[in-house]
Amino acid sequence: MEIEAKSRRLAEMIQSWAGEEDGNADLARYTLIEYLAKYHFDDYEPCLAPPQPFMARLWDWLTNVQDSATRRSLFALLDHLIYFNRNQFHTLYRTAFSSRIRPWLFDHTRQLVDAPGFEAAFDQVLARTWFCPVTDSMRINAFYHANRLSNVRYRPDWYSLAKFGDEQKLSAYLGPGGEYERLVLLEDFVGTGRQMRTAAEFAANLPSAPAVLLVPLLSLGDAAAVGEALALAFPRLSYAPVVVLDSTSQIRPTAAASDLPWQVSARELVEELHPRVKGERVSLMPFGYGDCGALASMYSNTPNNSLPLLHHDSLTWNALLPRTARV
Amino acid sequence: MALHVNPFAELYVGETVPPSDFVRLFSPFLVEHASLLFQRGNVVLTGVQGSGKTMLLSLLRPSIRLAFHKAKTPFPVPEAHSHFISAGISLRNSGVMSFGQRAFEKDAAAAHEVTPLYFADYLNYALVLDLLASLQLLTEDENAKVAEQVGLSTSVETQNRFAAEVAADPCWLGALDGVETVDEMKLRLASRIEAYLSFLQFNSSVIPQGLASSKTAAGIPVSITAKALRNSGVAGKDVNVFVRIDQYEELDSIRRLPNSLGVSFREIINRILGMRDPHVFYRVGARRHAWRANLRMYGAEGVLEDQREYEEVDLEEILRRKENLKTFLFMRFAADVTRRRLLHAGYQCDLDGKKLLRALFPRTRPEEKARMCLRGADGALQRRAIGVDENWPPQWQESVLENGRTDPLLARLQSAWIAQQLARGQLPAAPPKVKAAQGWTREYWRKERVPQALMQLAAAAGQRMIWVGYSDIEALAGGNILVYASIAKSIWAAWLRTAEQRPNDADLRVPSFDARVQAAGIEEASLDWFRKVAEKPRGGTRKKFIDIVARRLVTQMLDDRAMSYPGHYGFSLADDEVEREPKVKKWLREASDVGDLVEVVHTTKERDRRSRRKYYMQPALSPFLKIPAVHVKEPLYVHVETVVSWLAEAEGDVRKSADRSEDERRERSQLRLF
Amino acid sequence: MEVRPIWGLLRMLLRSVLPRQWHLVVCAGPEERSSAAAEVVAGVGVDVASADCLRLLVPTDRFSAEREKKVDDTLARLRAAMPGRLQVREMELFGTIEPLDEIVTGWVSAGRQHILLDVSTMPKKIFFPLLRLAIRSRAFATLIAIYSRPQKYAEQPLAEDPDPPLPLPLFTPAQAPPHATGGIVALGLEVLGIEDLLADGGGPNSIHVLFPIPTNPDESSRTWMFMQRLYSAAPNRFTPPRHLSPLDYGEAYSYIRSLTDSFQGHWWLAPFGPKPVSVAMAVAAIQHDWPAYYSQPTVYNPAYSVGVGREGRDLAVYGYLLVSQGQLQA
Repeated sequence: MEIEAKSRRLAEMIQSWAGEEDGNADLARYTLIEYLAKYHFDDYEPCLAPPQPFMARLWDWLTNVQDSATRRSLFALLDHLIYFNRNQFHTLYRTAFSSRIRPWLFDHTRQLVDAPGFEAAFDQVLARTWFCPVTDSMRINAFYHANRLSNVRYRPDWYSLAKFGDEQKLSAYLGPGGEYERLVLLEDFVGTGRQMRTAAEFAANLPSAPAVLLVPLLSLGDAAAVGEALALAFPRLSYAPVVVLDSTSQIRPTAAASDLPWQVSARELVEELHPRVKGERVSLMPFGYGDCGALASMYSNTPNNSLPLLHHDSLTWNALLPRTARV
Repeated sequence: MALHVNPFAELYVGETVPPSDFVRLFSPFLVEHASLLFQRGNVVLTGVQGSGKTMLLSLLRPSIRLAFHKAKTPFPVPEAHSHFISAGISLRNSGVMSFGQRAFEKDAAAAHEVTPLYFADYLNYALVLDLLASLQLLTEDENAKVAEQVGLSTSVETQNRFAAEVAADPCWLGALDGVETVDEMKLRLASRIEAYLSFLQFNSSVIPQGLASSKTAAGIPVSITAKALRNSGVAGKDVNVFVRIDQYEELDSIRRLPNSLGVSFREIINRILGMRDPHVFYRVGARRHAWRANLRMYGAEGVLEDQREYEEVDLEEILRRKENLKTFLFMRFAADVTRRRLLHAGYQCDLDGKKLLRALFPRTRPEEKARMCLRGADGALQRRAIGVDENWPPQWQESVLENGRTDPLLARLQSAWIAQQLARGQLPAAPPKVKAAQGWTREYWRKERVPQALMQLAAAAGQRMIWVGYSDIEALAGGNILVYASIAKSIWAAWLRTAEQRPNDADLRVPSFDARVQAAGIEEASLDWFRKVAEKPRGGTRKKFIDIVARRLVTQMLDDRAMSYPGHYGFSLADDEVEREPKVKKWLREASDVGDLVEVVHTTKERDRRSRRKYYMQPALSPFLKIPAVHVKEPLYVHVETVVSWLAEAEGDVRKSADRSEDERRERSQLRLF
Repeated sequence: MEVRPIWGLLRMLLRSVLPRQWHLVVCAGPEERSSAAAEVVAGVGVDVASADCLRLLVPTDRFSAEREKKVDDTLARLRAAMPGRLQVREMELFGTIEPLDEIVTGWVSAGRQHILLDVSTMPKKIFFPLLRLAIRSRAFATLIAIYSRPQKYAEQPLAEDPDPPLPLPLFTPAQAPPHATGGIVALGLEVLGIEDLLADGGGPNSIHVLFPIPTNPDESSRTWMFMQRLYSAAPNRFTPPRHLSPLDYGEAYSYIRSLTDSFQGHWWLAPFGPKPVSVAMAVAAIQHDWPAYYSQPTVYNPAYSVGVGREGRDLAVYGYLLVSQGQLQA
């Protein structure tokens, strides 16, 4: 079915729900999502070329199931989705700098911000700070551009360095006599914190013992424990997440006292639909990597910590926000 | 344009639209009924937001007058009444609001005395300044033709003579001494206004010298200026001078101005109206009850009286008047607005009036609505919905079921009739064969009960009521053109989503919306209006109140299987009871002022002949609340104590946090200041 | 590297500036975060010579008893943090601005040069004019605005019964204001009354929206819903939103600078939403004499927020360096 036809069919379907008991809520939701598709969701990179507009994908996603009750439940789940578009990320890059990185650098400047000569001292400190990504999913280039930082030659991702990096070379480069004195590690999304921990431990354990600042732009609550433990374990390491998504962004496999009613029903829905969702990928877990069950996505990709029913394409399931997986 | 443009997309046509657009979109339908607005005498124009008030008052503005001229469109005011010049003050968008910021005297009592006088002086200066600005605008070289039509002289010499005459008047207490030209006068007036604002904004530490000793008396400067306009020959003898006071109700909204200043300011304006000045006439835009709540005149005994110091033009009442209902005034208004919007959006529109609206919004007959509700329902559900009682005589049961196979509406009505007859012990042994004897088909009996029947059928089938067709839309609009436009907008949006896009086809024909699209659009619009309730002052509680009352009434109407009380989706209160409960009185008046409740005086069915008023939820909320919109028969008669308890529940309800549905929890986490 | 206003955790900011004698200004609200700034300041150990505490008087409503009790608790915590230095001043929330003028004049005559202004639980109707009086006086060498984020928001609504959108005190338009070049609305979780303004034919032709980055789906949904409704009511007037952090005063100010082409023209502001963003709008409005509109709630729920948020091991209490060495940092 062509794209426009899908959007039309979707609208007709929602309109046909209007007569149901809470059908008007679906109408209102649709109006909002129609707007969001245009100004928010449609910058989703994995679906830009060839173009697969959000509304067409939504039709495919809802019609994964046949009965209207389940379709309406899936539709209602979108109330709880949090998505960060490209512009919001641009803001996150800048906020990360203003609110997390700069104050940390002030400490290293060892001068008071309103003392004479502060600007020059700060610029020097900045020049000796290396900004790198934790993994290659972080758009470090964009971070540099957004903050108008002078570009640097090397911007390795430290998760890869942890596997392949030469500690001696790195210590010479990043240390008292080296090109840089301190390291800022940024990541776009941190779910369980596993990759962040690998990268951070590697950096903090370098013989040159550089000062390290960990700055996840978006993170789940689970990552906080990891980050704080790292900060405790390494005196020269600081953890400074920018946006921490709270528990209402996640559906966990086991019930918790703090669960809201919609989370309870969403859990049931996830479990009920999982056989269709996973299709041929039998090892796929219903609540995503680390059982995080996140209802989160961003313009560049959907994290694997998010619910597979959002991002997994299979023979029996069309994803709403199909994920580009690392092979 | 055309294709896939929603002609109602931009709901609010105000000052920000290009004047040429205003001219095209302005519908003159109400002008004739509000003709007092353009004649001598003070006029208070009352109505809720969306009643057309703002657009009508806009016709008084010089910029709008000029816009019609530029667009080569006849000015919609009859020629005999179009000789006027006006000044205005917009209370919200001007420096007036500064008056609550700083006291003019240290002593509170002295400040309370003197502040309204400064306010009056400020108002005087601001209005005269605006009048001069209007004069200059209308008599600019490029606008000479308009000046001529209005009856104004473009001669600079004449205007300066006028300025000198005004300046010399003793009312200014010397403040304008030496002024000889209009420009000089404007500078002098502006400078005093600036001095006020500078003080009120704490930019200067003391009241500027001379201000205290030269305060002008409320209304006098505008009066002498108006008089001088004619005496000096700047304005012809038949040119009227109008003053617009916009957003009058804002003064009332600022309930919390210090020392009840809001009250004093209102009374200053009332006093000006009370002068019954023959030289200048005031136009106040206000809400009905808010206006009537305080008619006292500052520093004077007595109150303003309708028909004496002013005339009230109540737009809602105009649209409800019998003669206007008979001539379908609202429908013609809505049709005109629609046609203009369609043409503006580039559609080809050959139809107008009723034909246009019926073509756009074809109706679905009630019988068909009933069938649509029960489509797919199994036999048991059908039976339950129609309301067949197995205790009835078998012949009656059969008759109802037989009817129900093709006409569930008829069957439901028949069931209700049977129940009524049984209650009276008057059920015939068998269903009459003669149509005339079939009570459930009798015209008025049936007509009164169709809405309730549809309501009951929908509820039984687990469905929402179906709203389709222009008649339904007009009922939902309740005489409010903004509500109509928002419904039209939602329906159009629903249609655009599902209409096939044919880019190569220049299809400029006006569409016809099918039932599904209309129903969806109306539901969406209704939800939106319900949300809006919460966004007005005291809206959170009012929304709860409406919800509580509607649920009570719906339950009663659904339980009333015999349909003995088909009008019980409104409630009626005796006036004397309401008088006993000032809080309830205030609550109901305010709800009606903002348009959330519709209040109508009605004749009681009781023998006591006590005067009563009936209240209905705003009709636009009906789809959301699942109640009918058309008002038939008697509402539910309640005592004021019942309303007191509803209100208490609504207020208390806002505090509860346990056992909340998710949606309600989200709705309530509204007001965060971070 | 572009210049950006300095802000960050208050604890760190205070340690990063030259030592001086501070004067603290707080508002005693019923929430726990009302005293967070004072507690952080006391903990850092900087020299706070004196402290003003505003206690707002509001008309009696059904929350009064509970609210007063909580305000008393706040005062106790404040007194403990600032022993012997706290001066409590009562002020009508709906009165004139005189008391604020007196307060600022008092600072000047007492020679207070360095002000810490905690806006966390100070209504906009109060801190907007207070900021204006302070900045316009040019009498202060340093002015740091403080904002404390709550741990979480309670289930109940913050406030009720808002006035319609009206100009904030000292931010009223001129009598015949120039035609508005444009408008800037900062969205929050409530944007009451803007549609009303539009309905009356008011408001500028072109309105830009500042959209605070949400931290949970609920906030995201609600804020987008408001955006969509504004857009739906007047599609030709609202431009696509600009996103920014709710805490980033500097970014907000920078956006305003770029939206207004370096403050050209006459702009109409509606500072709903996060206080740090509102502070940026206030500063812009003060510098350029622009009006600011707001729907002031008239009833405050005492139980609207819980606790004080955290940022790592620190309390989420942020300082924004607005004035340094007598110069506005903007």
